[in-house]
Amino acid sequence: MLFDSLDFALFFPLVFVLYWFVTKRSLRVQNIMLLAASYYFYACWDWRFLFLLAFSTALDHVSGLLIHAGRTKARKRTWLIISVGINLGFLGLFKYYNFFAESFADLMGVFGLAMDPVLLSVVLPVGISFYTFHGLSYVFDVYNERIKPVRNVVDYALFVGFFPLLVAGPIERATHLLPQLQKPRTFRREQAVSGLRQLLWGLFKKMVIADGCGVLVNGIFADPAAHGPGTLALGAVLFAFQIYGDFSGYSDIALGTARLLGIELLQNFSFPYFSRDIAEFWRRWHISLSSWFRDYLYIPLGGSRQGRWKSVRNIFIIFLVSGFWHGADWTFIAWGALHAVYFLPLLLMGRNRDNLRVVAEGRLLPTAREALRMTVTFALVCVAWVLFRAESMAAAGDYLLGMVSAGPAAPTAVDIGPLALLLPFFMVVEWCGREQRFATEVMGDRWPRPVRWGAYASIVFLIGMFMGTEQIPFIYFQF
Amino acid sequence: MRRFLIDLLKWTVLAAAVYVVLLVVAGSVSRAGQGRNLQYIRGSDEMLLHRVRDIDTSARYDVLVIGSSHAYRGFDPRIFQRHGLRMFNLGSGAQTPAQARVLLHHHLHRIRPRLVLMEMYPHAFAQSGIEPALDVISNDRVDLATVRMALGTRHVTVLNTLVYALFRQVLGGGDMDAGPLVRANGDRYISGGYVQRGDTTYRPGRTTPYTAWEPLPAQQRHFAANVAAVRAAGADVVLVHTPVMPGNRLIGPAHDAFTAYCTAIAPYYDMSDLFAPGDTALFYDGHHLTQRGVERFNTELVRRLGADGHLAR
Repeated sequence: MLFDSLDFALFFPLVFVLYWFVTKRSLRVQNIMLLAASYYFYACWDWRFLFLLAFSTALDHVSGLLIHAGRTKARKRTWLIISVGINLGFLGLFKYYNFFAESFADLMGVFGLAMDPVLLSVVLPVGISFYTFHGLSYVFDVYNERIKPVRNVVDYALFVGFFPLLVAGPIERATHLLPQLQKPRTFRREQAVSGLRQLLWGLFKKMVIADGCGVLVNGIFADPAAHGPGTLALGAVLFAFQIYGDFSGYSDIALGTARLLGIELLQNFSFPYFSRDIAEFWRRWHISLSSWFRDYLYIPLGGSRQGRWKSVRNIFIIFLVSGFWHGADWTFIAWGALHAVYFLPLLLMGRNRDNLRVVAEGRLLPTAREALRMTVTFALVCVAWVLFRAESMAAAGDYLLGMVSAGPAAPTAVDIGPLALLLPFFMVVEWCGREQRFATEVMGDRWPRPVRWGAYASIVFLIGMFMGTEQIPFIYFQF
Repeated sequence: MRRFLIDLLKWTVLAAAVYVVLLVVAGSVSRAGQGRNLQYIRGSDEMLLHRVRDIDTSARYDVLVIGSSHAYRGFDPRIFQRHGLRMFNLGSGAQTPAQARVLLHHHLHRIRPRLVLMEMYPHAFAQSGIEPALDVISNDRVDLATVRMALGTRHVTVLNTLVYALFRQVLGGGDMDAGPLVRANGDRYISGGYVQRGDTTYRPGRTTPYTAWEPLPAQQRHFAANVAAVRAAGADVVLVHTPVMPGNRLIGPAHDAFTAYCTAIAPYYDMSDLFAPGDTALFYDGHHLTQRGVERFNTELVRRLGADGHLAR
């Protein structure tokens, strides 16, 4: 079930009514209903993978209890290793086995040893990377005694399987979400209105911006040789908007939906394309994943406090793992490596924490220097997106070479149609709302109510008028 | 909660109103009511508007033809007239049973035929019918039957166009020019609903026949309703598969299944293989006949209909 489908438009109001009107009096019943709705939501993709989700949930729940009950550090560590091993084992089996088997065969081929690897013909369970990381963060936190284990299995299962975040995040932390699930939620009008605004803006991002760009991007990336450098550069820029609209749109819908149920999820995006350097970009892009890697990988490895060499090593590890998390392909690893290369100069010069606050805070426009730095950062990100989007390293190489080859600098043969107006509109709204949690959080709060309501109604019109007519799944579902 | 729900309800009403107003504005300022998800093409090349306006209700017709471009490019009223038959062709572009249902609902009682020839093409049953729905919405009256058809597509462009067409109809803006009778591509509208192609250069298409037929249950329901409506109006039904080149035919078990489906409902004339594959002078593409092809096909069809007693009434 996709967020931008008619099915979800029927499903969510029903859940909303059951949640606030039928089951509200009992937290336990309310959570059971929410869990059942979440499992139904997941089963709409493939009910068979419910067993995997349930097993993963049970494994981490029991692991948490066993780790907590372990009398010695060694015993706790043993249970932790078993839990992490099984979790990553499943992830590896479904997501990475074929990649390793094929890569090993390719490597043997280099030495003249022809191999015919045994490949698995399995579908990647949707959301496995996300709910596995949910579970891992929980067992890590229990092991590190940041939280006590949850005894109520329904609460824990809901933490892992809560439908707004189940298939594409944000990757929640037990310390943040579990307490909200364990206490009664009260309906607050301001929170619900904020949720609706974020949900609506997320739908606009996904259905108009991402899907609109996606059609053009598919055409350009399908045959880069047929296009000149201008068109290829346009393709990379459009993909930057596509993936941002797609993933941050999904996150907005997830956060808005959860907020309508009185639950706050972690912010996942914070206007990353207004970043002045790559370090800032990574503080604003897929924040829940970046902070996950920071807390559970980078800092345990020593972070940046163990000398320059180890800092460089740790940065490469975290970016390579982050790339590999996205997909079992060399293109994702190269994408992560390129971002590490972008990041390193900032780290070595001690400039990676220069831009902690939002750009042009309190001002309408950025300075020329800020604008230049944002443009350069965006360009670097776009180049890296080519690796992310390409089908293979060879295809990425051809595309990047095409971007710098001789040919018409101006885009040809691509009619971006209404996107010529919609993209600037989108960026203006995002710019105006960049100091908030999402672009439309306070949009129109000072306007008369009819004007404000009319403005939001106009967004509905833009969606209806310019949405793609083919339903395109969210990109991050494949991860 | 109460205040939130009331505000949400009010906003939903306002949003619906704003949506319609902006849709109408967008349709009015854009070229011929077209936009990304708005395709109000009045006087389209399928010439349905000419057809709808051309129906002469002063006397009964002997034969009504309904179907896709196979129909309006394949059944010539002039040839039927030569055999003493008054025929009207109510074909529309890529028509599926869903659009046929709307057109029959609107015009069957006006045409009052004795015999209805339903053009049969297997793929019409496998399409949800977005393009033909837009054609019918833009060029025929909008009423509850049209609304039901549009809702059945669950397609935003169809629904937007429906709202816009309804607005044009209510405010009288729909009384637009139906377009020239002769189009740039040489298509000529012939009174009685037929479209004659001027260009007769053969353009080959696909060469591999279809082997699968996967009808949509909704289209089958529409088709059954169409047959029932025609019979309820006192007319006979005959199903006709027009001649097409081999690459556009259905073969094998799927063909047998389609034939069995048709013959279970009404007399079925499968004339898809009337002409030999090499008869490219009789086709201008894989689907459509030249005027020479139409002459031979219609003459043969009328002969068979007469021989089987379908023209006896």
